[in-house]
Amino acid sequence: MNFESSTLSLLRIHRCLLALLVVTIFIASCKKSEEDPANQPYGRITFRFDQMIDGKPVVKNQLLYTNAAGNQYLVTDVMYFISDITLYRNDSGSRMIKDWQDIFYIDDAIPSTLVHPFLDKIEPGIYDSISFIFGITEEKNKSFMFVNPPEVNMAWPSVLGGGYHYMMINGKWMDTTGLLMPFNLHLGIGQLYHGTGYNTDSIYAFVQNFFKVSLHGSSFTLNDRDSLVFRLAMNIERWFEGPHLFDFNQWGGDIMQKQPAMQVVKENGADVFTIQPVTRLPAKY
Amino acid sequence: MVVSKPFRSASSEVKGPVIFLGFLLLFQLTAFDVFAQMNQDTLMLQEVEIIGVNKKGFREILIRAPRIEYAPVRDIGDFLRQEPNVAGIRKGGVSIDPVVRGFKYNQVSVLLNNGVKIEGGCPNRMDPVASHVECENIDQIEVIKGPYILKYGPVMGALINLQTARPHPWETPSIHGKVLYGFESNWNGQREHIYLEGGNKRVFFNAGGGFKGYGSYTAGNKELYNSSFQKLYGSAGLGFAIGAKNSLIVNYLYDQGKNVRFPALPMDERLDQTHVASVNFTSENISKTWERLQFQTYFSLVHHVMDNLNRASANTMQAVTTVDARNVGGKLVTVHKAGDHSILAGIDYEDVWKNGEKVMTMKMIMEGDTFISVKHTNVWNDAGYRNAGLFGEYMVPLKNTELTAALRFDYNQAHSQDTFRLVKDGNSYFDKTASAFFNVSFGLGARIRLLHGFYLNGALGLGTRSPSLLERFIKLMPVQFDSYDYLGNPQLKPEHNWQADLSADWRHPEIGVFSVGGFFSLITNYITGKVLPPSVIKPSTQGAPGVKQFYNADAVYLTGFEVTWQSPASKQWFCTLNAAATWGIQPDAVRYVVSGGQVTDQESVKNDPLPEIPPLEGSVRGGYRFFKNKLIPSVTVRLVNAQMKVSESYGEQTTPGFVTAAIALRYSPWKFISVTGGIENLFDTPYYEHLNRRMIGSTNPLYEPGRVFYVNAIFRF
Repeated sequence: MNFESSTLSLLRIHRCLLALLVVTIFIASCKKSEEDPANQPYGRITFRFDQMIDGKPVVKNQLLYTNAAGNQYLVTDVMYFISDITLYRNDSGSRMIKDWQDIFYIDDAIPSTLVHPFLDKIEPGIYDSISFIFGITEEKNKSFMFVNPPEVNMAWPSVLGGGYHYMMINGKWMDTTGLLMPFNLHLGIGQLYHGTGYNTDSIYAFVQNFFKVSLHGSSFTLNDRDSLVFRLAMNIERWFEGPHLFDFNQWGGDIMQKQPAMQVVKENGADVFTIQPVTRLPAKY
Repeated sequence: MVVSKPFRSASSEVKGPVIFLGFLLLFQLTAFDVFAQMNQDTLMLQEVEIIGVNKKGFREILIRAPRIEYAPVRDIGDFLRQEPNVAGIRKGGVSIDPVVRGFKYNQVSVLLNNGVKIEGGCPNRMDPVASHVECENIDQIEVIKGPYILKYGPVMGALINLQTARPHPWETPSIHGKVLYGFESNWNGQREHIYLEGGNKRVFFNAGGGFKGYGSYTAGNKELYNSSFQKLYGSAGLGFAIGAKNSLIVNYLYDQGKNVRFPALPMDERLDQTHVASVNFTSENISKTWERLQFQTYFSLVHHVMDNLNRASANTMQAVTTVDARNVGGKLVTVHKAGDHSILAGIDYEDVWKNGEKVMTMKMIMEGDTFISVKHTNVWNDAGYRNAGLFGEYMVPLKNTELTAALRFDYNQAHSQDTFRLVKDGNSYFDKTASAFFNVSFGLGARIRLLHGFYLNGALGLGTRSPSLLERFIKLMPVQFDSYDYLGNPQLKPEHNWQADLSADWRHPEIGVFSVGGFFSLITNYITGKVLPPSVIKPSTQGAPGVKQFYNADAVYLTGFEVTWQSPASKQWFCTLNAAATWGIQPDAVRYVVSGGQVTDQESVKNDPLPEIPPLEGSVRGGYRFFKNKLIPSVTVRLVNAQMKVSESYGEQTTPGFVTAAIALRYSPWKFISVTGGIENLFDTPYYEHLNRRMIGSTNPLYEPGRVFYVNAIFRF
């Protein structure tokens, strides 16, 4: 072997590799120019949630209320999910809120859950209405999808259909003997049982009780860089009236294994929510 | 793999005056964490490179067994944190994950015996590779900074080569042994180790084993941290000399961790069992130009079980994860010499497989009835990759210059039997699971002697690593420091590290060794995580604020330096000064604005510091050798700067600086016995390293142990 020539070859290889390195680093450092999405017009919206009874903010733990069936009751907890919020444009298009979250948890005892600023950048325009799913659709309502409090506390047992409660309104009502009895107005996946009891072994089918809520009077106009706040109110007394009367003395305090009772609540739920006038906040982008 | 040690004679080990002196020096130099590095280095200056720069021009740290033996070492990752620009990620009392110059996780290649690889089972890295081998089994640790050594497999940022004690031939039939007992106050830690070795010229063996049991430690802030652990381990080796030139060695190693608590992780390790077996054949001096032929094959298996049963979170949801991991591979290496030219060439192969399941159990009491819901999910589903490599290394001495060039090609093919798919609104997040890559790596090194004792060293390299099984296929486990659940990305591309090192060292018999060097790394296709919206996927681990998915970000860079001074070996006093730092920058990062627990916006962050980069650190180690090295007191002071350059995009927190001190005294009245005692964290300083993870469910740091009194006794025969 000729050592001198091999040394020269090595030096040539060394130079080539150095050149290769410099070129590669240069290429790696070049960036493609991209269209700046910040230049696209958009606005944003926020939902604020209120819990009302008879047109006023709910006062918890006080026996102040009477429902349409004549039951005196008090409320201790209000927790629920809404999902798939959809904005309908006047040109027949629609836009679902889903860029960050599509399922929203509201808990009267946790202030941070009462305001949901959506990350979605909404195209400016005229919108006719807003709708949402009360609860969670069958496709999305899967057990163990929430593992952290507070959402995890809404878990619905797998044997009863799985997923999560759509709603928990807990409180007490005064029964016909004058005793204050606890109630758990819980809505979730219902079950159909063989026979008359509620033995889980006799379940033969499940019923999805989520439903769509179309908000009346929810049209709005969104301009570029607008930030709109909607106040959404759950009128709790409406769960107990029209089209059906809900009487605690008839259904008892617990309904999560009573599909007929949940059906009544579900059908009453269509007009439970109302939307308040829009607040237009200063642009903050 | 290689029987590189010369034949050792039992008698000559004691009688030969030179070797005896070396032995004595070796014995004295390795006492405590405080000054062992310096002692070892001082000794080894006359033999082989130890710290600083090796003859190939690469920065290297070489640590021999005696230095480890005398220190109160619980695991290798913990021990390595003493070295300049080597840090570690602490999540509990043990199994600290090494970080070298800011490179971490799979960016640092950790292997055994020049090529044996272990695939850890835990997605949270409760069991990094180094934790599967106990420090008592270690014969030598080699840390090479940079992607320059390519003969052991793909290397991206650094290489840690752990050499375990292996059997070797004996000139005369012999049997020798060692017994070690160590105790540490504070967490009432005890370790016992016994080791035997012997044989003759033809057949030789070794066997050893031990136990470690540690309780929870109290930090300097007087808080008790649930950091207890138990380790049980054993090893055996059998070797045969076949003719004068060939040897065959078979090794087996078992390591078990049990009830290992990790207060900074959502789970604890219930059981971790490791089996490693290897066969090594070496043929040397085959012909005038054919210097060596080596063949190595290995098999490693890890069974890992972890759960949250000792955590408050188990009251609402219990989670148990079981993972099995396997790594099988081998390599064939041939070394040729022609004059001063040396050429090494070889091929290697690695087949990694992983399978794991998480079982979540939720107990609900509703309306007087108790309901139990159980969910089984796979963490990995029959996932794996195969890596075939072809490599070569060429060394030649020119006038005053040593030149080294290394080149490596890898073909990496990954697969998984996942049925999980995540495609939403036309975006494919986790879909096609197969991938294949052809990777190129190279390293160039030069060591130039400018003046007598003064050297200038340069190295340039490209290290390429294919994504790990975790980065490719993990499903919803909190595997990084930010508590997010992580989702793998089967379509990740390999990560590249373009690195340059420049250093100088000056060696003088009266002044000692002074070494200064710096490096710059440009990492392209940098693998990191970005947040996925909850509308796409939600976390499955309690406490995880959301889900991040691995992706290839734009280029990031790391830069840093190391400065070392070691006193001359000829002095009775000794001293070592170290200073090192690394900085890392991600030029374009994204920060998520969180309001009320929800992400409400995202912002671009320019020149964001990379997360988990240790701050500027310096240390001073010194002592004196009394009575012909029989009594060696020493002291170490470590000064660590505050880390204020933290990643905004990761929401990383700053860490205050601290100063700690340690003292030690080693007494070796006879050659067969040595007792070391000392105090670590002398002033009971409340401190934590920047890389220590936060306590789970909070932003509170996991503090380091407070004051620890320790004693190590070693008896040899």
